[in-house]
Amino acid sequence: MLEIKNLHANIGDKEILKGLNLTVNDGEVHAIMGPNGSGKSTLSAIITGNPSYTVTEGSITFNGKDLLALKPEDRAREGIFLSFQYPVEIPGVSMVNFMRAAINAKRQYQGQEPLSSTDFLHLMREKQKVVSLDNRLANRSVNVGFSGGEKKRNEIFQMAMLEPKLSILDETDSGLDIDALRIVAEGVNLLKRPDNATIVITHYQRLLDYIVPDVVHVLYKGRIVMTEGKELALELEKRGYEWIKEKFDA
Amino acid sequence: MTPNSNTDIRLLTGVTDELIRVKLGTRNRFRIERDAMVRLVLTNDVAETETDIVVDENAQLFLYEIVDIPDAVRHSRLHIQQSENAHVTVAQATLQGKETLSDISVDLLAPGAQVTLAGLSIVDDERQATTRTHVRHLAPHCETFEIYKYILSDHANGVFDGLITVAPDAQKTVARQTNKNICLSPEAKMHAQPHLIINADDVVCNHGATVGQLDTDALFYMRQRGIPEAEARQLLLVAFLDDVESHFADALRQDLRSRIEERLMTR
Repeated sequence: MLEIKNLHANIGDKEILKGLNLTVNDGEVHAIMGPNGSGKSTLSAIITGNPSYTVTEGSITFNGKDLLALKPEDRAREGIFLSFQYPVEIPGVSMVNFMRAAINAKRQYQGQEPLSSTDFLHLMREKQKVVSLDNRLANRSVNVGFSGGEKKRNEIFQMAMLEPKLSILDETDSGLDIDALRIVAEGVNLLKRPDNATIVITHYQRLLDYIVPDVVHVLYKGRIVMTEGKELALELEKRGYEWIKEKFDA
Repeated sequence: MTPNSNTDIRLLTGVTDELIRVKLGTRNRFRIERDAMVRLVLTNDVAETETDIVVDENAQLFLYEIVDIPDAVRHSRLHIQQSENAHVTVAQATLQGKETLSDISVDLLAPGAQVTLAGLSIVDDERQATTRTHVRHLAPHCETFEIYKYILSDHANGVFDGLITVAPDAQKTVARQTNKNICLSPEAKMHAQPHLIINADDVVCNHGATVGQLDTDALFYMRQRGIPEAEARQLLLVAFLDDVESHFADALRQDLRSRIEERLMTR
C-alpha cells in the first residue's frame, strides 16, 4: 500500500529525515516509536503533504501513485488520514459543515453525487457512536471548546466518517486519560479491515496495549534503525531509549 | 418609504419586527420615538449621505446597510443620539465598492444607552474602504460594543479609525472595541487605529486590533480532510466574518451569506 524509499526531508534548512525506508501492506498495523526529536511527526507531515516541510530526496508511492506529486487534499481523497497530535481549532466552521465539505469532496473525487442532508446526518450520528462522541459537538465550531479527550475522539470520529485506506495516528495517546485512551483505541480497532492499514506514532508503549501492532519500528535521527515484532515496544517501555541512542550513536 | 425632502424629520413609532427599507437622500433626519422598535435597511444611490438619528427613551433601533456595487463611491455620515435606555445596533457590510467611507458618531446621552457597531468589508483590486467611528460616553451605565472585520486582497486599502471617549462622570461604562483584519496579499494594506480616551475611573474598557493572514494550520487541517484548498480558504474566510454577520437581521442573513460566499469564492 505504502512504500517509502530513501526519504530525506527538511524543515527550513534543517534535515530531519535522513534516508527513511518503510513499507506498509494492506491489513497491517505499524507502530513507529522513538525518542523525542527523532522525526516521527515529520514523517506524518511529509506523508500528508504539509507545506511547511520539503522533501529533498527519495520517493513515496501509495497504491502505485506517486504521492509526492499530489496536493494534500488529493492525498486525503486517495485515502490517507492523519489523526493530528494537536487537532486545530477552527472558530466559525461548524463540525457539520466541515464534515459535509470533507465527505462531499471525497465523493466528488470518486465521481459520486453529494450525500443528501438526511443521509449525511444519519452517517454523522452512526459514526459518532464509534467513539461515543456527543451529538451536541456536531453544531459547535471544529474543536473549539472541546476537551483534550474530545479533540482526540473527534479525530477518530472523522476517521470513521472518511473511511481511509491508511490512517496515521500521531501521538493520539498524548494527553489522554485511561478511559479516553480505551475509547479511542476501541474506535480504531473497530475501523480495522483487511484492506486498510494503520501507522501508530507514539512515544510510549501504553497505546499499543490496546492497538496491537504487527510491526514496531524505532525511528532515530531521521532513520528507521530497528524493526521487530510487538515485543520491541515492551522492551522499549522497560529499558527506555538510552540503549538505542548508545547503540546507534556509536 | 420614499426619499424625503432634505430636512424633514421622519418620525418612527411602534414595535415591529418587519424590515423597513429606506432610500436615503443627501440629508436625512429620523426620530425613533419612545418605546418604539424599528428595523431599517438603508439603501442609497447618491455618493454622499448625511443622516441624523435621535433615539428616544427605551426605543430600539436596528440599522442595516449592505454596499454591493463594484464601482460605487459611497461616503455616508451617520450621527446618532441616544437617550435613556435607548438601544441601537448598526450593522454594515461592504461587499463591493470602489471607495467607501462610513463615518459614524454616537452620543450616549443618558444612563442605560447601549450601542452595537458591527461591520465587515471585503476589499480587493485598488479599492478602498474606510470606517471611522466615534462613540461618546456622556452618562454613566452605558455600553458600547464594536466589531469591525476586513478581508483585503490585491492592492486594496482598508482603514479603521475607532475612537471611544468616556466623560469624567460616565462611571460604570462598559466598552469593547475589536478590529480584526486579514490581508491576503502582501500589497494589501490595513491601517488600524483603535483608540480609547477614558476620563472616568470605574469603567470596563478594552480594545484590540489585529492584522494577519489566513490561519495556515487550519487550512492544512481542512485540506488533510480532503477539502480542496480554494474551498477551505473560502470556508475559513466566511467563518472569519461570521460574528459580524450574526448582527444582521435573520431575514437578511441567508442572502448576505450567499453573497459573501460568492464574493470570497476566488480569494
